[in-house]
Amino acid sequence: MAKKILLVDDSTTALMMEEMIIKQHAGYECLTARDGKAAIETALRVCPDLVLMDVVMPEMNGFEACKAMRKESVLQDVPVILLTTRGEQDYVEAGFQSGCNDYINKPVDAAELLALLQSYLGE
Amino acid sequence: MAKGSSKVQGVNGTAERDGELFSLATLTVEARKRAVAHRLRAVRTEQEQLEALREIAANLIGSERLAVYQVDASMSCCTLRWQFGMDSLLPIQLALAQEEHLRRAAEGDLVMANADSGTAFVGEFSAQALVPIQLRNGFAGVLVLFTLLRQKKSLDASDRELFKLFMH
Repeated sequence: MAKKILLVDDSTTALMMEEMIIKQHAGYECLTARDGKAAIETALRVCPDLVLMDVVMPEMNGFEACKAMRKESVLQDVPVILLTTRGEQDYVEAGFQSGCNDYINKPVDAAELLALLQSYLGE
Repeated sequence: MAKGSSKVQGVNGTAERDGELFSLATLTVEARKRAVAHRLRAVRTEQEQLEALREIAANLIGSERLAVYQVDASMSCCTLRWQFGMDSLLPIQLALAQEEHLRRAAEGDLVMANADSGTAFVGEFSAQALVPIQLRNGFAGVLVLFTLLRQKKSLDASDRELFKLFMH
Protein backbone atom coordinates (compact mmCIF):
# COMPACT_ATOMS: atom_id res chain seq x y z
CA MET A 1 0.00 0.00 0.00
CA ALA A 2 1.38 3.43 -1.00
CA LYS A 3 2.60 5.75 1.74
CA LYS A 4 0.67 9.01 1.85
CA ILE A 5 2.72 12.22 1.89
CA LEU A 6 0.97 15.51 2.58
CA LEU A 7 2.74 18.32 0.70
CA VAL A 8 2.03 21.81 2.02
CA ASP A 9 3.22 24.92 0.20
CA ASP A 10 1.65 28.19 -0.93
CA SER A 11 3.94 28.24 -3.97
CA THR A 12 2.27 26.40 -6.85
CA THR A 13 5.64 26.05 -8.57
CA ALA A 14 7.35 24.50 -5.55
CA LEU A 15 4.37 22.22 -4.96
CA MET A 16 4.41 21.01 -8.55
CA MET A 17 8.16 20.37 -8.52
CA GLU A 18 8.06 18.48 -5.22
CA GLU A 19 5.11 16.42 -6.39
CA MET A 20 6.89 15.48 -9.62
CA ILE A 21 9.94 14.32 -7.66
CA ILE A 22 8.01 12.37 -5.05
CA LYS A 23 5.77 10.66 -7.61
CA GLN A 24 8.88 9.15 -9.20
CA HIS A 25 8.88 6.86 -6.21
CA ALA A 26 6.24 4.24 -6.91
CA GLY A 27 5.55 3.72 -3.25
CA TYR A 28 4.48 7.27 -2.44
CA GLU A 29 1.15 8.97 -2.96
CA CYS A 30 0.86 12.79 -2.72
CA LEU A 31 -1.85 14.95 -1.21
CA THR A 32 -1.53 18.73 -1.25
CA ALA A 33 -2.57 21.75 0.81
CA ARG A 34 -1.85 25.45 0.28
CA ASP A 35 -1.54 26.75 3.86
CA GLY A 36 -1.22 25.62 7.47
CA LYS A 37 -4.92 25.57 8.24
CA ALA A 38 -5.75 23.50 5.17
CA ALA A 39 -2.85 21.19 6.06
CA ILE A 40 -4.29 20.44 9.50
CA GLU A 41 -7.75 19.81 8.08
CA THR A 42 -6.37 17.47 5.42
CA ALA A 43 -4.05 15.71 7.86
CA LEU A 44 -6.89 15.04 10.30
CA ARG A 45 -9.01 13.65 7.47
CA VAL A 46 -6.46 11.38 5.77
CA CYS A 47 -3.85 10.78 8.49
CA PRO A 48 -0.78 10.92 6.22
CA ASP A 49 2.38 8.88 6.77
CA LEU A 50 4.51 12.05 6.52
CA VAL A 51 4.01 15.80 6.18
CA LEU A 52 6.41 17.88 4.05
CA MET A 53 5.58 21.51 4.81
CA ASP A 54 6.82 24.96 3.82
CA VAL A 55 7.39 27.42 6.67
CA VAL A 56 6.37 30.78 5.23
CA MET A 57 2.71 30.56 4.24
CA PRO A 58 -0.44 32.69 4.56
CA GLU A 59 -3.20 31.97 7.09
CA MET A 60 -1.04 29.76 9.32
CA ASN A 61 2.71 29.26 8.86
CA GLY A 62 4.57 25.95 9.04
CA PHE A 63 5.75 26.40 12.64
CA GLU A 64 2.22 27.10 13.87
CA ALA A 65 0.75 24.26 11.84
CA CYS A 66 3.38 21.85 13.15
CA LYS A 67 2.64 22.85 16.76
CA ALA A 68 -1.09 22.42 16.14
CA MET A 69 -0.55 18.96 14.62
CA ARG A 70 1.44 17.85 17.66
CA LYS A 71 -1.59 18.64 19.85
CA GLU A 72 -3.77 16.23 17.85
CA SER A 73 -3.46 12.68 19.16
CA VAL A 74 -3.77 11.10 15.70
CA LEU A 75 -1.00 13.30 14.30
CA GLN A 76 1.43 13.32 17.22
CA ASP A 77 3.68 10.67 15.74
CA VAL A 78 3.43 11.62 12.08
CA PRO A 79 6.87 12.77 10.86
CA VAL A 80 6.86 16.44 9.85
CA ILE A 81 9.65 17.77 7.65
CA LEU A 82 9.79 21.53 7.26
CA LEU A 83 10.91 23.11 4.01
CA THR A 84 12.29 26.61 3.87
CA THR A 85 14.39 29.16 2.05
CA ARG A 86 15.82 30.23 5.44
CA GLY A 87 18.77 28.12 6.58
CA GLU A 88 19.85 30.20 9.58
CA GLN A 89 20.49 28.27 12.79
CA ASP A 90 17.92 30.17 14.88
CA TYR A 91 15.32 29.51 12.24
CA VAL A 92 16.14 25.80 12.23
CA GLU A 93 15.93 25.70 16.04
CA ALA A 94 12.52 27.39 15.92
CA GLY A 95 11.45 24.62 13.58
CA PHE A 96 12.51 21.88 15.97
CA GLN A 97 10.83 23.69 18.87
CA SER A 98 7.59 23.61 16.91
CA GLY A 99 7.87 19.82 16.90
CA CYS A 100 9.19 19.06 13.43
CA ASN A 101 11.32 15.95 12.89
CA ASP A 102 13.58 17.35 10.21
CA TYR A 103 14.39 20.31 8.07
CA ILE A 104 15.29 20.70 4.41
CA ASN A 105 16.33 23.82 2.53
CA LYS A 106 14.96 25.16 -0.72
CA PRO A 107 15.78 24.92 -3.57
CA VAL A 108 14.97 21.22 -3.22
CA ASP A 109 17.33 18.61 -4.59
CA ALA A 110 15.66 15.33 -5.64
CA ALA A 111 18.38 13.06 -4.23
CA GLU A 112 18.38 14.83 -0.86
CA LEU A 113 14.60 14.91 -0.63
CA LEU A 114 14.06 11.26 -1.60
CA ALA A 115 16.81 10.09 0.74
CA LEU A 116 15.19 11.99 3.58
CA LEU A 117 11.73 10.61 2.80
CA GLN A 118 13.12 7.09 2.57
CA SER A 119 14.81 7.50 5.95
CA TYR A 120 11.36 8.03 7.50
CA LEU A 121 9.15 5.89 5.26
CA GLY A 122 11.50 3.16 4.10
CA GLU A 123 11.37 1.71 0.61
CA MET B 1 19.06 19.71 10.01
CA ALA B 2 18.49 17.97 6.73
CA LYS B 3 20.14 14.60 6.59
CA GLY B 4 22.47 15.39 3.75
CA SER B 5 24.51 12.32 4.54
CA SER B 6 21.55 9.95 4.21
CA LYS B 7 22.19 7.10 1.82
CA VAL B 8 19.97 6.59 -1.18
CA GLN B 9 18.59 3.21 -0.21
CA GLY B 10 18.37 0.14 -2.38
CA VAL B 11 21.69 0.82 -4.04
CA ASN B 12 24.66 -1.49 -3.73
CA GLY B 13 27.57 -0.91 -6.09
CA THR B 14 29.33 2.36 -6.76
CA ALA B 15 28.45 2.40 -10.47
CA GLU B 16 24.83 1.69 -9.66
CA ARG B 17 24.81 4.41 -7.01
CA ASP B 18 26.46 6.87 -9.41
CA GLY B 19 23.82 6.01 -12.01
CA GLU B 20 21.02 6.58 -9.54
CA LEU B 21 22.45 9.89 -8.37
CA PHE B 22 22.83 10.98 -12.00
CA SER B 23 19.22 10.15 -12.73
CA LEU B 24 18.10 11.96 -9.58
CA ALA B 25 20.09 15.01 -10.65
CA THR B 26 18.35 14.84 -14.02
CA LEU B 27 15.04 14.48 -12.21
CA THR B 28 15.71 17.67 -10.24
CA VAL B 29 16.48 19.58 -13.43
CA GLU B 30 13.49 18.26 -15.36
CA ALA B 31 11.06 18.78 -12.49
CA ARG B 32 12.24 22.38 -12.09
CA LYS B 33 11.92 23.07 -15.82
CA ARG B 34 8.45 21.60 -16.08
CA ALA B 35 7.20 23.43 -12.99
CA VAL B 36 8.61 26.75 -14.20
CA ALA B 37 7.24 26.35 -17.75
CA HIS B 38 3.82 25.50 -16.33
CA ARG B 39 3.87 28.47 -13.95
CA LEU B 40 4.93 30.96 -16.62
CA ARG B 41 2.29 29.70 -19.07
CA ALA B 42 -0.41 30.56 -16.54
CA VAL B 43 0.68 34.21 -16.31
CA ARG B 44 -1.70 36.77 -17.88
CA THR B 45 -0.95 40.19 -16.38
CA GLU B 46 2.26 42.00 -15.48
CA GLN B 47 1.43 41.68 -11.77
CA GLU B 48 1.03 37.92 -12.15
CA GLN B 49 4.29 37.78 -14.07
CA LEU B 50 6.22 39.61 -11.34
CA GLU B 51 4.71 37.37 -8.65
CA ALA B 52 5.61 34.27 -10.68
CA LEU B 53 9.21 35.48 -11.08
CA ARG B 54 9.48 36.16 -7.35
CA GLU B 55 8.05 32.76 -6.48
CA ILE B 56 10.30 30.89 -8.89
CA ALA B 57 13.41 32.82 -7.82
CA ALA B 58 12.81 32.13 -4.14
CA ASN B 59 11.67 28.52 -4.33
CA LEU B 60 13.50 27.03 -7.29
CA ILE B 61 16.57 29.18 -7.89
CA GLY B 62 17.51 30.43 -4.45
CA SER B 63 17.28 34.22 -4.54
CA GLU B 64 14.99 36.50 -2.58
CA ARG B 65 16.50 39.80 -3.72
CA LEU B 66 15.51 40.74 -7.20
CA ALA B 67 14.31 43.51 -9.48
CA VAL B 68 12.92 44.10 -12.93
CA TYR B 69 14.08 46.93 -15.16
CA GLN B 70 12.10 48.03 -18.19
CA VAL B 71 14.08 48.84 -21.32
CA ASP B 72 12.96 51.99 -23.10
CA ALA B 73 12.04 51.80 -26.77
CA SER B 74 15.16 53.68 -27.88
CA MET B 75 17.40 51.23 -25.98
CA SER B 76 19.12 54.14 -24.29
CA CYS B 77 18.05 53.59 -20.69
CA CYS B 78 16.36 51.23 -18.26
CA THR B 79 13.78 52.19 -15.66
CA LEU B 80 13.20 50.32 -12.42
CA ARG B 81 9.79 48.67 -12.70
CA TRP B 82 9.75 46.57 -9.52
CA GLN B 83 12.07 45.41 -6.76
CA PHE B 84 11.70 42.81 -4.06
CA GLY B 85 13.65 42.00 -0.90
CA MET B 86 16.25 44.75 -1.31
CA ASP B 87 17.39 46.67 1.76
CA SER B 88 17.92 49.86 -0.21
CA LEU B 89 16.26 51.52 -3.16
CA LEU B 90 17.87 50.66 -6.46
CA PRO B 91 18.68 53.31 -9.08
CA ILE B 92 15.39 54.37 -10.69
CA GLN B 93 16.89 55.00 -14.10
CA LEU B 94 20.15 53.81 -15.62
CA ALA B 95 21.75 54.87 -18.89
CA LEU B 96 22.64 51.75 -20.86
CA ALA B 97 25.75 53.42 -22.27
CA GLN B 98 27.21 53.31 -18.76
CA GLU B 99 25.87 49.87 -17.79
CA GLU B 100 27.72 47.09 -19.56
CA HIS B 101 25.85 44.17 -18.02
CA LEU B 102 22.41 45.74 -18.18
CA ARG B 103 23.03 46.75 -21.80
CA ARG B 104 24.05 43.22 -22.74
CA ALA B 105 20.93 41.81 -21.09
CA ALA B 106 18.76 44.50 -22.74
CA GLU B 107 20.21 43.33 -26.07
CA GLY B 108 19.14 39.76 -25.32
CA ASP B 109 22.19 38.16 -23.67
CA LEU B 110 21.85 36.15 -20.50
CA VAL B 111 24.49 37.47 -18.07
CA MET B 112 25.54 35.26 -15.18
CA ALA B 113 28.24 36.07 -12.65
CA ASN B 114 30.75 33.26 -12.30
CA ALA B 115 34.44 32.55 -11.99
CA ASP B 116 35.00 33.14 -15.70
CA SER B 117 32.98 36.29 -16.26
CA GLY B 118 33.60 37.88 -12.86
CA THR B 119 31.09 39.98 -10.97
CA ALA B 120 28.16 41.58 -12.74
CA PHE B 121 26.94 45.03 -11.70
CA VAL B 122 23.75 47.06 -11.91
CA GLY B 123 24.70 50.57 -10.88
CA GLU B 124 26.81 49.98 -7.77
CA PHE B 125 25.03 46.78 -6.84
CA SER B 126 26.66 43.46 -7.60
CA ALA B 127 24.34 40.97 -9.27
CA GLN B 128 24.31 37.22 -9.79
CA ALA B 129 22.27 37.18 -12.99
CA LEU B 130 20.67 39.50 -15.51
CA VAL B 131 17.99 37.79 -17.57
CA PRO B 132 16.30 39.32 -20.63
CA ILE B 133 12.53 38.97 -20.36
CA GLN B 134 9.46 40.18 -22.21
CA LEU B 135 7.23 42.13 -19.85
CA ARG B 136 3.48 41.57 -20.06
CA ASN B 137 3.06 45.33 -20.60
CA GLY B 138 4.67 44.88 -24.01
CA PHE B 139 8.12 46.27 -23.19
CA ALA B 140 11.39 44.42 -23.06
CA GLY B 141 12.75 44.01 -19.56
CA VAL B 142 15.65 42.65 -17.55
CA LEU B 143 15.22 40.50 -14.46
CA VAL B 144 18.12 41.02 -12.05
CA LEU B 145 18.93 38.56 -9.26
CA PHE B 146 21.17 40.25 -6.72
CA THR B 147 22.13 37.85 -3.96
CA LEU B 148 21.59 34.15 -3.43
CA LEU B 149 20.28 32.39 -0.34
CA ARG B 150 23.08 31.27 1.98
CA GLN B 151 22.58 27.59 1.11
CA LYS B 152 22.86 28.34 -2.61
CA LYS B 153 26.56 28.73 -3.31
CA SER B 154 26.37 29.76 -6.95
CA LEU B 155 24.24 29.60 -10.07
CA ASP B 156 24.93 26.67 -12.37
CA ALA B 157 24.06 25.19 -15.74
CA SER B 158 20.64 24.02 -14.59
CA ASP B 159 19.81 27.58 -13.51
CA ARG B 160 20.83 28.73 -16.97
CA GLU B 161 18.25 26.31 -18.40
CA LEU B 162 15.56 27.88 -16.23
CA PHE B 163 16.57 31.39 -17.23
CA LYS B 164 16.15 30.41 -20.87
CA LEU B 165 12.51 29.63 -20.10
CA PHE B 166 12.11 33.16 -18.73
CA MET B 167 13.46 34.57 -21.99
CA HIS B 168 10.71 33.09 -24.19
